[in-house]
Formats: sequence, C-alpha cells, structure tokens
Amino acid sequence: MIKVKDFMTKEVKTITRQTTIREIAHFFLSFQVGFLPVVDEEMRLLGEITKRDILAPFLPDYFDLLEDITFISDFGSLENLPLEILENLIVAEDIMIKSVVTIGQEASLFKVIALMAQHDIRHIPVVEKERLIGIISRTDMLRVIFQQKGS
Amino acid sequence: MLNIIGASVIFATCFIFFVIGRPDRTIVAMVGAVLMILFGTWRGFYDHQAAYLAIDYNTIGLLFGMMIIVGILRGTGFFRYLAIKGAKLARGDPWKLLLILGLTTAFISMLIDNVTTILLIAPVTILVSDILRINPRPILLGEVILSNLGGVGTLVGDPPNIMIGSASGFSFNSFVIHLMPVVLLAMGIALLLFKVLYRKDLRSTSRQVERIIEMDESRAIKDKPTLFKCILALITVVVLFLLEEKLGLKSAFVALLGAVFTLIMVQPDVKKIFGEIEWPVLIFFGSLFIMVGGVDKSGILGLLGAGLASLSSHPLAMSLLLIWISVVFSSLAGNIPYTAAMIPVVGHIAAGGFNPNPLWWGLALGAGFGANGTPISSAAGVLIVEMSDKTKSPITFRNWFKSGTLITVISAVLASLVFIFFFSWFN
Repeated sequence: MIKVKDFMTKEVKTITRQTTIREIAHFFLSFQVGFLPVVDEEMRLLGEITKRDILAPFLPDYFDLLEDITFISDFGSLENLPLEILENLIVAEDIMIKSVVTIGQEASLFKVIALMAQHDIRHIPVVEKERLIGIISRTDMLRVIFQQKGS
Repeated sequence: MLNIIGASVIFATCFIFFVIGRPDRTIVAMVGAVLMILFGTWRGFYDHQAAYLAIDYNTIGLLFGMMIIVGILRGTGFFRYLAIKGAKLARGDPWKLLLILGLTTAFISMLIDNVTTILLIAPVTILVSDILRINPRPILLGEVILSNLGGVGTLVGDPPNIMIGSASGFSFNSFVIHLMPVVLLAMGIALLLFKVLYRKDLRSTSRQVERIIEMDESRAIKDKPTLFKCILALITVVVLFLLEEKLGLKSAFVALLGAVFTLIMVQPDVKKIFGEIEWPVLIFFGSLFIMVGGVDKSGILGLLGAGLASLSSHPLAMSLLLIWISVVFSSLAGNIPYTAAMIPVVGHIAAGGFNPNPLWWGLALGAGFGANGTPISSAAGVLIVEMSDKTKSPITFRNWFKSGTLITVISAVLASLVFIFFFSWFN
C-alpha cells in the first residue's frame, strides 16, 4: 500500500502570520505554487492560503449579501481597487483560513484521493503531532498514480 | 393556584428566552409547548386534545400560503428589479433614495413578510450607496422602519395582525379602513423625521450618479414568465382579500388558493420551493399557540383580563392602556409572542362588558408600532443591523434609539391621539 509519506512533498514553502499580502502574491507568482501553509516558529500549522483567498480583501464585506450583480456594468468608485491594502495592511493572518482537512503520513493514497474529491480541494497539509511535515498536491497525486504504473 | 403558577412560570421563562434571543425561539417555544402539555395533563387543566384545538390554523395557513407564493416570486429577481429601478429614479439624491426605496419597502411589506422584503432590497441599497459614495445607514434604517410601519396597515402585513384578524374575525378591508390612515400618517412623520435627523448625510447629491443610471435593471429579472404568473397570483389574492367578506372566504383559504394557483401555473421544483418554506417560523407559531392555550386554560389570562377591566370602565381609557402596554411589551419581547398571549386577554376584558373592537385595533397598533422599539424588537430589525455590520457605517443601538425608538414613541402618541379624537371610528 502506498502511503502519504512515500509521495508527499517535503520541501514546503511556508509563511508566517505576519507575511504581507504583497509577499504572498510574490510567492504564488515566482514559485509556481497555489497553496501556502501558515506556520509558527515551531512549524505548527495555523492555517492556509490559496490563490482564491488572496483576492477576497479587494471585495467589500457586504458583497456576499448580493445574489446577483449582472445588472451592473460600471462599479464606479469600487473599480479603483483599494491598493493601500497591498501596503502591508493585510498580512497572512487576516486572510488565512483554517485547514479543513489535514492528513497523517501513514494514511493511504486512496484516502487522499477520497478526501480531495469529497472536499473539492487541491492540496492537503500533512501533519504529525500538529507540526507540518509536508503537503500533497494534485500534481503529487498524478505523479504517484500514473508514473508508477508506467515505470 | 398551582396551575396558574406552573403555567405562568413556563410561559414567563420562555418569554425571557425570547428576549435574550437564545436558544433559537423555535426550540424555546417547542420546549415550552411540551412542558405546558405535560404540566397541564398532570394537573388536569390541559391536554394534547386541547393543545390541538388551541392552534390557530388560520394564521399558520395564511403564513404557509404566502410563503409559497413569495418563495416562487423571489427567485425571479423582481425585488432586485424594483430596488434598482428605484435607485435610478432617485438620480443620486440620497434623500430621494431613502424616500423611494423606503416607500417601496413599506408597500411591499403590506402584502409580503418584512424579513423577505428587507433581505432582497437592502443588499442592493448597500451596493448602490457604496457606488454613490453616500452613507447607507439612514437609508437602511428608513427601509426597515417603514417596512415595520407599513406591515401594520393590512391584515397580512405583519404576524400580529394575522393573529388578530383571525381571532377578531375582522376582514382584510376592515384592517385597511381602520389602520391604514394611521399607518400612512406615521410613515409620513417618520420620513419627515429622517429628513431632519439625517440632514447631513442626505444633503449632497452624488457625482457618481451615471454609474447607477447605467445599471440595467432588466438583467435582474431572471425568469419573466414565472414573474408574470406570480404577479397574476398576487393580484388575484389581493382581489380575493378585498372581496373575502362578500364571498365568505377565510384569509388563510385565500392565501392557500393563491399558492395553489401559483404552483399549478409555474409548476416549480416542489422540493426546492418547499425547502424554502420557513418551517421553523410555522413550528414556532404552532408551539406558541399551544403554550398560550395552556396558559389561558390555567386561568391566569382570565385573571389578567379581569384585572385590567377593573382598572377603568371607560372604553377609550382601556384602549389607550392597551396601546401603550402593547408598545412596551412588543418592543421588549417581540410582538409575536406578546400578541399571541394578549389575544385571549382581550377576549377576557371584553367579557367584562367592553366592546372588543377598539381593543383589537389598539392591540394591533400598539404591537405593530412596538416593532420599531429596539433593533431586536423585530426580525427585520435584527437582519438590517447584521447587514449594516458589513458596511463602513454599521447601525448601532444609539442610531436606532435616535430614529426607531423615537418613531415608536411618536407613532404610539399618534395612535393615541387618533383614538382620542376619532374613537367612534374604532367601535
């Protein structure tokens, strides 16, 4: 049975609570990752940030009340994105979300497939005693499933 | 004596939880209803049979019927359409925006549940205000306060009126004739007050008005055929409400007829539409009726009625007393549990030799106007405060006391004056 520890990515790019939104965007752009775990000094997992979360601060809070916005063509002053948000105002802890799913390194490949499908997520942090030891992305999954059979 | 104490303790405890707002009122009412039946069965003054009879099916049927029609209507985007249309008419003038959206909300609320109306109009209001760079607070306050006032004007406008209509036997027309003039007057005064209170926020016309004019409200309509069918059903319902006396129909039957009419015309996904019915609200009402039935059977409401009747033998004085008691208690505990409990009391006061008619109208005005007493007096008020928390200028208790509470007092004074000068009108 293939286990998580056999195919997880161990070299994980992590950020801290205080990493700014500008730096986070920089990580996404330069390292080809779509997922950043937020950890403390002892590598304890605090939360995670995906590309989706990084856009949320640009939308007013009340937007989730609107069921439909197709009738608007020009949002007027809203169109001027509040770029001051980028100037160190927003840091990782403001936009991170608590990880819905984590997994242990002894879990099976099939369990990872099932969890990813059920929660519709692309990454799962691998955690041992609250500490982050790796992540599994869908790329890791493709690699382990399809390359193994071919080799 | 034990019956009275036990039943009163159960009911008063539930009432306190209604004020606190937690646990959810439906759970509180269900627990109260079960305890009341248990206690009544043990003491022999109430049982499940009596509980079944205590439920006012006319109220529940009316709510159920309207929920189906509105459930189908809200998916069409009609309310959003009205809000955008109104916003465009205001042409960036904050005062006109308040006037048009406030009155739209008020008139919709005369027929449709206030919470649904606010839920659909307020988000568009917030968006439009943000684009116009004006403060949404006075406009949101205006919408909810006018919505609460508007509902007082008709039998179906707010739950206290539905219950009172059912208990008194007054027709839809009778409600409009007796209450609408007072309500319209109160709405006018409320608007004037807003103009004075928020003159700073409402003064300058926004320069961003083109963005609003450019909005295409026709795109808000998601399903035209269904919209027309719903409007047709609503018109039919209103016409039947107006004719209900002549035709000898009960208002619940009219609402259910409208619901059936809409269902057969639209043939929506039944599971989806019935999933949108607010079952907790219906269960809350049912449980409340069961609880109040037990309290009444214990004898305490009879004593309360006789006690009130002994205070004065003057019909006007009694009506005024009822208006003010109702305003105070409805503000504090919400007007639904209060009205449910007061309906039997009015019956008992009338049994002491009073003409019940002015008492019913007094109860309706007091309980209805009480909804604006505090931000938590009405479900629509709670909702608008929650929504405003997502804007840059949240509605605080202080804001509410300055507008809502003041308007409650003014509208209660107005109701009292109308009673004093035109008492024979309410006989």
